[in-house]
Amino acid sequence: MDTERLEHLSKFIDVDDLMKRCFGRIDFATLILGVLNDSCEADVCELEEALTEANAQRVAKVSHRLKGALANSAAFSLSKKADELSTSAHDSSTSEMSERLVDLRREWDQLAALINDQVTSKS
Amino acid sequence: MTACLRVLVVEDDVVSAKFLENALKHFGYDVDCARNGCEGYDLVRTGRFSMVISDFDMPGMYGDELCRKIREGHRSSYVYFVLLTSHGDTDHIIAGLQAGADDFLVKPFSPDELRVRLRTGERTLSLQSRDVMLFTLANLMETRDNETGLHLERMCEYSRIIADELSQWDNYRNEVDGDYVQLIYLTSPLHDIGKVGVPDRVLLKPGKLTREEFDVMKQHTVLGGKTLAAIAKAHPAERYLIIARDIAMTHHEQFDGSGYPHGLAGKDIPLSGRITALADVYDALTTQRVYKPKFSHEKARGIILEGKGTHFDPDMVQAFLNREDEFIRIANLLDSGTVPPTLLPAIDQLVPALAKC
Repeated sequence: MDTERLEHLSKFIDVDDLMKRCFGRIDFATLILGVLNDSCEADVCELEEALTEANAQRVAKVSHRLKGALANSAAFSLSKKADELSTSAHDSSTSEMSERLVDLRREWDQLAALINDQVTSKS
Repeated sequence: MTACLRVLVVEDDVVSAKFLENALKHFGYDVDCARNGCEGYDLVRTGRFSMVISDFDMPGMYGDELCRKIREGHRSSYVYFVLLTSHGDTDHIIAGLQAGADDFLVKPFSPDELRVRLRTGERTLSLQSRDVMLFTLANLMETRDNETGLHLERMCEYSRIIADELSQWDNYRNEVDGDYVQLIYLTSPLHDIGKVGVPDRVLLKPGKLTREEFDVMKQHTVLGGKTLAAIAKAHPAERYLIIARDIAMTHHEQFDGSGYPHGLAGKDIPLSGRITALADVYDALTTQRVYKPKFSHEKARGIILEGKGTHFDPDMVQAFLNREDEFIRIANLLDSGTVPPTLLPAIDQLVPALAKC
Protein backbone atom coordinates (compact mmCIF):
# COMPACT_ATOMS: atom_id res chain seq x y z
CA MET A 1 0.00 0.00 0.00
CA ASP A 2 1.16 3.58 -0.54
CA THR A 3 0.24 6.80 1.24
CA GLU A 4 -1.99 7.81 -1.66
CA ARG A 5 -4.30 4.90 -0.94
CA LEU A 6 -4.22 5.74 2.73
CA GLU A 7 -5.51 9.22 1.89
CA HIS A 8 -8.80 7.60 0.80
CA LEU A 9 -9.45 6.99 4.49
CA SER A 10 -9.05 10.64 5.41
CA LYS A 11 -12.80 11.13 5.80
CA PHE A 12 -12.63 8.87 8.87
CA ILE A 13 -8.99 8.84 9.87
CA ASP A 14 -6.52 11.65 10.49
CA VAL A 15 -3.90 10.13 8.20
CA ASP A 16 -1.11 12.49 9.24
CA ASP A 17 -1.67 11.67 12.88
CA LEU A 18 -1.79 7.94 12.15
CA MET A 19 1.45 8.08 10.18
CA LYS A 20 3.10 10.01 13.01
CA ARG A 21 2.06 7.32 15.45
CA CYS A 22 3.49 4.73 13.07
CA PHE A 23 6.82 6.62 12.81
CA GLY A 24 6.11 7.15 9.11
CA ARG A 25 6.12 3.40 8.42
CA ILE A 26 3.45 2.56 5.89
CA ASP A 27 3.88 -1.17 6.52
CA PHE A 28 3.05 -0.70 10.18
CA ALA A 29 0.09 1.56 9.35
CA THR A 30 -1.20 -1.21 7.08
CA LEU A 31 -0.77 -3.76 9.84
CA ILE A 32 -2.59 -1.55 12.35
CA LEU A 33 -5.51 -0.95 10.02
CA GLY A 34 -5.79 -4.68 9.42
CA VAL A 35 -5.82 -5.35 13.17
CA LEU A 36 -8.31 -2.53 13.69
CA ASN A 37 -10.53 -3.98 10.98
CA ASP A 38 -10.74 -7.32 12.76
CA SER A 39 -10.91 -6.13 16.36
CA CYS A 40 -13.31 -3.27 15.75
CA GLU A 41 -15.70 -5.48 13.81
CA ALA A 42 -15.60 -8.03 16.63
CA ASP A 43 -16.25 -5.32 19.22
CA VAL A 44 -19.18 -3.82 17.30
CA CYS A 45 -20.69 -7.29 16.98
CA GLU A 46 -20.19 -7.81 20.72
CA LEU A 47 -21.90 -4.49 21.39
CA GLU A 48 -24.89 -5.55 19.31
CA GLU A 49 -25.08 -8.79 21.24
CA ALA A 50 -24.77 -7.00 24.60
CA LEU A 51 -27.50 -4.59 23.63
CA THR A 52 -29.78 -7.45 22.63
CA GLU A 53 -29.22 -8.85 26.12
CA ALA A 54 -29.77 -5.34 27.56
CA ASN A 55 -26.42 -5.77 29.29
CA ALA A 56 -25.47 -2.12 29.85
CA GLN A 57 -22.34 -3.01 31.83
CA ARG A 58 -20.97 -5.02 28.94
CA VAL A 59 -21.87 -2.23 26.51
CA ALA A 60 -19.96 0.25 28.66
CA LYS A 61 -16.90 -1.97 28.88
CA VAL A 62 -16.66 -2.88 25.20
CA SER A 63 -17.42 0.62 23.93
CA HIS A 64 -14.75 1.99 26.26
CA ARG A 65 -12.20 -0.41 24.82
CA LEU A 66 -13.32 0.51 21.32
CA LYS A 67 -12.93 4.19 22.07
CA GLY A 68 -9.26 3.66 22.95
CA ALA A 69 -8.51 1.51 19.91
CA LEU A 70 -10.13 3.99 17.54
CA ALA A 71 -8.43 6.98 19.15
CA ASN A 72 -5.02 5.36 18.88
CA SER A 73 -5.78 4.66 15.21
CA ALA A 74 -6.61 8.35 14.71
CA ALA A 75 -10.26 7.55 13.89
CA PHE A 76 -11.36 10.38 16.14
CA SER A 77 -14.97 10.76 15.01
CA LEU A 78 -15.67 7.07 15.56
CA SER A 79 -13.82 7.16 18.86
CA LYS A 80 -16.10 9.98 19.96
CA LYS A 81 -19.16 7.92 19.02
CA ALA A 82 -17.82 4.97 21.03
CA ASP A 83 -17.22 7.30 23.97
CA GLU A 84 -20.78 8.63 23.77
CA LEU A 85 -22.12 5.08 23.68
CA SER A 86 -20.01 4.19 26.72
CA THR A 87 -21.35 7.20 28.62
CA SER A 88 -24.94 6.48 27.63
CA ALA A 89 -24.56 2.91 28.86
CA HIS A 90 -24.10 4.27 32.37
CA ASP A 91 -27.13 6.52 32.51
CA SER A 92 -29.38 6.23 29.47
CA SER A 93 -32.19 4.12 28.17
CA THR A 94 -31.71 1.09 25.94
CA SER A 95 -33.32 2.96 23.06
CA GLU A 96 -30.76 5.75 23.27
CA MET A 97 -27.92 3.20 23.41
CA SER A 98 -29.46 1.48 20.43
CA GLU A 99 -29.58 4.72 18.42
CA ARG A 100 -25.97 5.45 19.21
CA LEU A 101 -24.89 1.94 18.32
CA VAL A 102 -26.68 2.11 14.97
CA ASP A 103 -24.88 5.36 14.25
CA LEU A 104 -21.56 3.81 15.26
CA ARG A 105 -22.21 0.71 13.16
CA ARG A 106 -23.05 2.83 10.08
CA GLU A 107 -19.85 4.85 10.25
CA TRP A 108 -17.75 1.81 11.10
CA ASP A 109 -19.12 -0.10 8.10
CA GLN A 110 -18.10 2.77 5.82
CA LEU A 111 -14.57 2.85 7.24
CA ALA A 112 -14.28 -0.94 7.18
CA ALA A 113 -15.31 -0.99 3.52
CA LEU A 114 -12.61 1.54 2.71
CA ILE A 115 -10.00 -0.38 4.69
CA ASN A 116 -10.94 -3.56 2.85
CA ASP A 117 -10.90 -1.81 -0.48
CA GLN A 118 -7.80 0.40 -0.12
CA VAL A 119 -5.63 -1.23 2.50
CA THR A 120 -6.06 -4.92 2.93
CA SER A 121 -6.97 -5.81 -0.67
CA LYS A 122 -4.03 -7.03 -2.77
CA SER A 123 -4.99 -5.02 -5.84
CA MET B 1 19.09 4.44 21.93
CA THR B 2 17.90 3.15 25.28
CA ALA B 3 19.69 0.15 26.73
CA CYS B 4 17.56 -3.00 26.54
CA LEU B 5 15.18 -2.44 29.41
CA ARG B 6 12.40 -5.00 29.41
CA VAL B 7 8.90 -3.56 29.37
CA LEU B 8 5.66 -5.46 29.89
CA VAL B 9 2.57 -4.14 28.13
CA VAL B 10 -0.71 -5.28 29.70
CA GLU B 11 -3.53 -4.34 27.37
CA ASP B 12 -6.70 -6.13 26.26
CA ASP B 13 -7.20 -3.81 23.28
CA VAL B 14 -5.08 -5.40 20.58
CA VAL B 15 -4.78 -2.18 18.55
CA SER B 16 -3.39 -0.16 21.44
CA ALA B 17 -1.13 -3.07 22.38
CA LYS B 18 0.31 -3.15 18.85
CA PHE B 19 0.93 0.60 18.90
CA LEU B 20 2.67 0.38 22.24
CA GLU B 21 4.75 -2.61 21.23
CA ASN B 22 5.85 -0.91 18.03
CA ALA B 23 6.69 2.39 19.74
CA LEU B 24 8.61 0.70 22.55
CA LYS B 25 10.63 -1.40 20.14
CA HIS B 26 11.29 1.71 18.07
CA PHE B 27 12.74 3.35 21.19
CA GLY B 28 14.99 0.34 21.80
CA TYR B 29 13.15 -1.53 24.54
CA ASP B 30 12.54 -5.26 24.78
CA VAL B 31 8.78 -5.80 24.92
CA ASP B 32 6.39 -8.53 26.00
CA CYS B 33 2.62 -8.28 25.97
CA ALA B 34 -0.10 -9.71 28.18
CA ARG B 35 -3.78 -9.58 27.25
CA ASN B 36 -5.16 -9.20 30.78
CA GLY B 37 -4.19 -8.43 34.37
CA CYS B 38 -3.84 -12.05 35.52
CA GLU B 39 -1.53 -12.92 32.66
CA GLY B 40 0.37 -9.69 33.32
CA TYR B 41 0.81 -10.50 37.01
CA ASP B 42 2.19 -13.94 36.23
CA LEU B 43 4.73 -12.39 33.89
CA VAL B 44 5.77 -9.72 36.42
CA ARG B 45 6.39 -12.49 38.96
CA THR B 46 9.11 -13.91 36.72
CA GLY B 47 11.17 -10.85 37.71
CA ARG B 48 12.12 -10.09 34.11
CA PHE B 49 10.40 -6.71 33.93
CA SER B 50 11.46 -3.43 35.48
CA MET B 51 8.71 -1.45 33.79
CA VAL B 52 5.00 -2.16 33.24
CA ILE B 53 2.58 -0.20 31.08
CA SER B 54 -0.92 -1.36 31.86
CA ASP B 55 -4.35 -0.45 30.64
CA PHE B 56 -6.78 0.61 33.36
CA ASP B 57 -9.98 -1.10 32.22
CA MET B 58 -9.40 -4.77 31.56
CA PRO B 59 -11.43 -7.91 32.02
CA GLY B 60 -10.65 -9.90 35.14
CA MET B 61 -8.28 -7.52 36.84
CA TYR B 62 -8.20 -3.76 36.52
CA GLY B 63 -4.90 -1.95 36.04
CA ASP B 64 -4.92 -0.37 39.50
CA GLU B 65 -5.58 -3.78 41.04
CA LEU B 66 -2.64 -5.24 39.11
CA CYS B 67 -0.45 -2.41 40.34
CA ARG B 68 -1.54 -2.95 43.94
CA LYS B 69 -0.78 -6.67 43.71
CA ILE B 70 2.68 -5.94 42.36
CA ARG B 71 3.38 -3.45 45.14
CA GLU B 72 2.10 -5.88 47.77
CA GLY B 73 4.45 -8.51 46.41
CA HIS B 74 7.46 -6.51 47.74
CA ARG B 75 9.59 -7.43 44.77
CA SER B 76 13.34 -7.28 45.26
CA SER B 77 13.70 -4.71 42.49
CA TYR B 78 11.35 -1.83 41.87
CA VAL B 79 8.83 -2.11 39.04
CA TYR B 80 8.01 1.24 37.45
CA PHE B 81 4.30 1.20 36.72
CA VAL B 82 2.54 3.36 34.14
CA LEU B 83 -1.25 3.24 33.90
CA LEU B 84 -2.75 3.74 30.50
CA THR B 85 -6.33 4.90 30.26
CA SER B 86 -8.91 6.63 28.15
CA HIS B 87 -10.26 8.15 31.36
CA GLY B 88 -8.66 11.49 32.00
CA ASP B 89 -10.71 12.15 35.12
CA THR B 90 -9.37 12.79 38.60
CA ASP B 91 -11.04 9.75 40.19
CA HIS B 92 -9.13 7.34 37.98
CA ILE B 93 -5.87 9.17 38.48
CA ILE B 94 -6.31 9.12 42.27
CA ALA B 95 -7.24 5.44 42.25
CA GLY B 96 -4.17 4.65 40.17
CA LEU B 97 -1.78 6.66 42.30
CA GLN B 98 -3.22 5.20 45.51
CA ALA B 99 -2.55 1.75 44.11
CA GLY B 100 1.10 2.71 43.66
CA ALA B 101 1.27 3.71 39.99
CA ASP B 102 4.16 5.99 39.11
CA ASP B 103 2.70 7.70 36.08
CA PHE B 104 -0.28 7.98 33.74
CA LEU B 105 -0.68 7.99 30.00
CA VAL B 106 -3.98 8.99 28.45
CA LYS B 107 -5.13 7.38 25.20
CA PRO B 108 -4.53 8.26 22.48
CA PHE B 109 -0.92 8.55 23.60
CA SER B 110 1.63 10.35 21.47
CA PRO B 111 4.91 8.49 20.86
CA ASP B 112 6.87 11.56 21.94
CA GLU B 113 5.03 11.72 25.24
CA LEU B 114 5.49 8.00 25.74
CA ARG B 115 9.21 8.39 25.17
CA VAL B 116 9.73 11.18 27.73
CA ARG B 117 7.61 9.40 30.31
CA LEU B 118 9.64 6.23 29.88
CA ARG B 119 12.82 8.23 30.27
CA THR B 120 11.47 9.56 33.55
CA GLY B 121 10.85 5.97 34.58
CA GLU B 122 14.32 4.94 33.56
CA ARG B 123 15.78 7.82 35.52
CA THR B 124 13.85 6.74 38.60
CA LEU B 125 14.97 3.13 38.24
CA SER B 126 18.53 4.18 37.58
CA LEU B 127 18.68 6.51 40.57
CA GLN B 128 17.22 3.85 42.78
CA SER B 129 19.71 1.18 41.76
CA ARG B 130 22.56 3.68 41.78
CA ASP B 131 21.88 4.99 45.26
CA VAL B 132 21.28 1.54 46.69
CA MET B 133 24.56 0.31 45.21
CA LEU B 134 26.59 3.29 46.38
CA PHE B 135 25.13 3.10 49.85
CA THR B 136 25.80 -0.63 50.08
CA LEU B 137 29.36 -0.40 48.81
CA ALA B 138 30.27 2.55 51.02
CA ASN B 139 28.91 0.74 54.05
CA LEU B 140 30.71 -2.43 53.10
CA MET B 141 33.94 -0.51 52.96
CA GLU B 142 33.39 1.08 56.35
CA THR B 143 33.05 -2.35 57.96
CA ARG B 144 36.51 -3.31 56.68
CA ASP B 145 38.38 -0.14 57.42
CA ASN B 146 39.81 1.44 60.49
CA GLU B 147 39.55 4.93 59.08
CA THR B 148 37.66 7.55 60.99
CA GLY B 149 33.92 7.51 60.67
CA LEU B 150 33.73 10.91 59.07
CA HIS B 151 36.54 10.43 56.53
CA LEU B 152 34.04 9.45 53.84
CA GLU B 153 31.82 12.43 54.56
CA ARG B 154 34.78 14.81 54.33
CA MET B 155 35.94 13.14 51.11
CA CYS B 156 32.51 13.77 49.58
CA GLU B 157 32.62 17.40 50.58
CA TYR B 158 36.21 18.19 49.60
CA SER B 159 35.78 16.47 46.23
CA ARG B 160 32.53 18.30 45.61
CA ILE B 161 34.09 21.68 46.43
CA ILE B 162 36.96 21.18 43.97
CA ALA B 163 34.63 19.91 41.22
CA ASP B 164 32.23 22.78 41.82
CA GLU B 165 35.09 25.28 41.53
CA LEU B 166 36.27 23.67 38.27
CA SER B 167 32.73 23.77 36.85
CA GLN B 168 33.05 27.55 36.82
CA TRP B 169 36.28 27.57 34.81
CA ASP B 170 36.03 27.93 31.04
CA ASN B 171 38.52 25.14 30.32
CA TYR B 172 36.57 22.62 32.45
CA ARG B 173 33.05 23.72 31.53
CA ASN B 174 32.54 20.94 28.99
CA GLU B 175 33.77 18.23 31.31
CA VAL B 176 32.51 19.40 34.67
CA ASP B 177 28.83 20.26 34.84
CA GLY B 178 26.33 20.11 37.68
CA ASP B 179 25.77 16.44 37.04
CA TYR B 180 29.50 15.71 37.33
CA VAL B 181 29.70 17.61 40.63
CA GLN B 182 26.83 15.54 41.99
CA LEU B 183 28.35 12.29 40.75
CA ILE B 184 31.75 12.95 42.25
CA TYR B 185 30.06 13.75 45.55
CA LEU B 186 28.24 10.41 45.41
CA THR B 187 31.12 8.26 44.21
CA SER B 188 34.14 9.66 46.06
CA PRO B 189 33.35 7.58 49.19
CA LEU B 190 34.17 4.52 47.09
CA HIS B 191 37.80 5.54 46.59
CA ASP B 192 39.09 2.83 48.95
CA ILE B 193 36.49 0.16 48.14
CA GLY B 194 39.30 -2.19 47.09
CA LYS B 195 40.39 -2.44 50.72
CA VAL B 196 37.76 -5.11 51.18
CA GLY B 197 40.26 -7.38 49.39
CA VAL B 198 43.27 -6.47 51.53
CA PRO B 199 44.12 -9.03 54.25
CA ASP B 200 43.37 -8.01 57.85
CA ARG B 201 47.01 -8.46 58.91
CA VAL B 202 47.89 -5.61 56.56
CA LEU B 203 44.73 -3.51 56.57
CA LEU B 204 44.30 -3.48 60.33
CA LYS B 205 47.98 -3.42 61.31
CA PRO B 206 48.60 -0.59 63.74
CA GLY B 207 51.63 1.53 62.83
CA LYS B 208 53.89 1.59 59.83
CA LEU B 209 53.72 -1.05 57.10
CA THR B 210 56.77 -2.91 55.77
CA ARG B 211 57.62 -2.53 52.07
CA GLU B 212 55.99 -5.90 51.33
CA GLU B 213 52.91 -5.01 53.31
CA PHE B 214 52.67 -1.69 51.55
CA ASP B 215 52.88 -3.46 48.19
CA VAL B 216 49.91 -5.55 49.27
CA MET B 217 48.08 -2.45 50.48
CA LYS B 218 48.68 -0.68 47.17
CA GLN B 219 46.68 -3.39 45.47
CA HIS B 220 43.49 -1.91 46.91
CA THR B 221 43.44 0.54 44.00
CA VAL B 222 43.56 -2.28 41.44
CA LEU B 223 41.05 -4.43 43.32
CA GLY B 224 38.58 -1.59 43.62
CA GLY B 225 39.18 -0.32 40.11
CA LYS B 226 38.75 -3.75 38.54
CA THR B 227 35.60 -4.53 40.51
CA LEU B 228 33.95 -1.28 39.51
CA ALA B 229 35.24 -1.66 35.94
CA ALA B 230 33.43 -5.00 35.67
CA ILE B 231 30.18 -3.39 36.82
CA ALA B 232 30.73 -0.40 34.50
CA LYS B 233 31.29 -2.75 31.57
CA ALA B 234 27.94 -4.39 32.21
CA HIS B 235 26.25 -0.98 32.44
CA PRO B 236 28.08 1.22 29.94
CA ALA B 237 25.43 3.94 30.01
CA GLU B 238 25.94 4.58 33.75
CA ARG B 239 28.32 7.50 34.01
CA TYR B 240 28.63 7.22 37.79
CA LEU B 241 30.17 3.76 37.49
CA ILE B 242 32.86 5.08 35.17
CA ILE B 243 33.67 7.87 37.62
CA ALA B 244 33.65 5.47 40.58
CA ARG B 245 35.98 3.10 38.70
CA ASP B 246 38.41 5.91 37.87
CA ILE B 247 38.43 7.19 41.43
CA ALA B 248 39.11 3.77 42.93
CA MET B 249 41.87 3.02 40.42
CA THR B 250 43.67 6.37 40.25
CA HIS B 251 43.31 8.33 43.49
CA HIS B 252 46.90 7.40 44.42
CA GLU B 253 48.38 8.37 41.07
CA GLN B 254 50.58 11.48 41.13
CA PHE B 255 50.77 14.24 38.57
CA ASP B 256 54.47 13.62 37.82
CA GLY B 257 53.93 9.91 37.25
CA SER B 258 55.41 8.72 40.55
CA GLY B 259 52.16 7.39 42.00
CA TYR B 260 50.53 3.98 41.84
CA PRO B 261 49.21 1.59 40.58
CA HIS B 262 50.06 2.50 36.99
CA GLY B 263 52.36 5.49 37.27
CA LEU B 264 50.04 7.62 35.17
CA ALA B 265 51.04 11.24 34.73
CA GLY B 266 49.37 14.59 34.00
CA LYS B 267 46.05 14.52 32.21
CA ASP B 268 46.37 10.77 31.66
CA ILE B 269 45.08 10.53 35.20
CA PRO B 270 41.29 10.85 35.00
CA LEU B 271 40.00 14.14 36.38
CA SER B 272 38.09 12.36 39.14
CA GLY B 273 41.35 10.73 40.26
CA ARG B 274 43.16 14.08 40.30
CA ILE B 275 40.37 15.66 42.34
CA THR B 276 40.13 12.88 44.92
CA ALA B 277 43.92 12.63 45.24
CA LEU B 278 44.01 16.13 46.67
CA ALA B 279 40.88 15.67 48.76
CA ASP B 280 42.22 12.43 50.26
CA VAL B 281 45.64 13.86 51.16
CA TYR B 282 44.17 17.07 52.58
CA ASP B 283 41.97 14.97 54.82
CA ALA B 284 44.91 12.81 55.87
CA LEU B 285 46.99 15.88 56.71
CA THR B 286 44.31 17.62 58.70
CA THR B 287 43.35 14.65 60.83
CA GLN B 288 45.24 12.99 63.66
CA ARG B 289 47.26 9.80 63.33
CA VAL B 290 48.95 7.62 65.92
CA TYR B 291 52.36 9.28 65.80
CA LYS B 292 51.44 12.79 64.73
CA PRO B 293 48.87 15.31 65.67
CA LYS B 294 46.58 16.66 63.04
CA PHE B 295 48.15 19.41 61.00
CA SER B 296 46.66 22.85 60.84
CA HIS B 297 45.08 23.99 57.63
CA GLU B 298 48.06 26.27 57.05
CA LYS B 299 50.53 23.40 57.30
CA ALA B 300 48.41 21.21 55.07
CA ARG B 301 48.08 24.08 52.62
CA GLY B 302 51.87 24.45 52.51
CA ILE B 303 52.38 20.75 51.90
CA ILE B 304 49.82 20.74 49.12
CA LEU B 305 51.42 23.79 47.53
CA GLU B 306 54.74 21.99 47.68
CA GLY B 307 53.19 19.09 45.83
CA LYS B 308 51.79 21.30 43.05
CA GLY B 309 52.81 19.86 39.69
CA THR B 310 54.48 16.83 41.29
CA HIS B 311 51.93 15.10 43.48
CA PHE B 312 48.96 17.23 42.47
CA ASP B 313 47.53 18.68 39.28
CA PRO B 314 48.24 22.45 39.48
CA ASP B 315 44.63 23.14 38.51
CA MET B 316 43.35 21.11 41.46
CA VAL B 317 45.68 23.00 43.76
CA GLN B 318 44.40 26.30 42.39
CA ALA B 319 40.80 25.16 42.82
CA PHE B 320 41.66 24.21 46.41
CA LEU B 321 43.22 27.62 47.04
CA ASN B 322 40.23 29.42 45.54
CA ARG B 323 37.89 27.61 47.93
CA GLU B 324 40.12 26.99 50.95
CA ASP B 325 37.70 28.71 53.31
CA GLU B 326 35.21 25.98 52.55
CA PHE B 327 37.84 23.31 53.20
CA ILE B 328 38.50 24.85 56.61
CA ARG B 329 34.80 24.98 57.37
CA ILE B 330 34.28 21.32 56.44
CA ALA B 331 37.39 20.21 58.34
CA ASN B 332 36.10 21.93 61.47
CA LEU B 333 32.54 20.79 60.99
CA LEU B 334 33.43 17.14 60.43
CA ASP B 335 36.44 16.95 62.72
CA SER B 336 37.25 13.52 64.23
CA GLY B 337 39.52 10.53 64.36
CA THR B 338 42.85 9.38 63.02
CA VAL B 339 44.52 9.02 59.63
CA PRO B 340 44.30 5.77 57.68
CA PRO B 341 47.48 3.71 57.22
CA THR B 342 47.02 3.78 53.44
CA LEU B 343 47.94 7.43 53.36
CA LEU B 344 50.95 7.24 55.65
CA PRO B 345 53.49 6.71 52.83
CA ALA B 346 52.03 9.59 50.85
CA ILE B 347 52.23 11.84 53.88
CA ASP B 348 55.76 10.69 54.67
CA GLN B 349 56.71 11.61 51.14
CA LEU B 350 55.21 15.05 51.58
CA VAL B 351 56.41 15.78 55.09
CA PRO B 352 59.91 17.08 54.10
CA ALA B 353 58.08 19.97 52.55
CA LEU B 354 56.98 20.97 56.05
CA ALA B 355 60.42 22.32 56.77
CA LYS B 356 59.84 24.94 54.14
CA CYS B 357 56.40 25.93 55.46
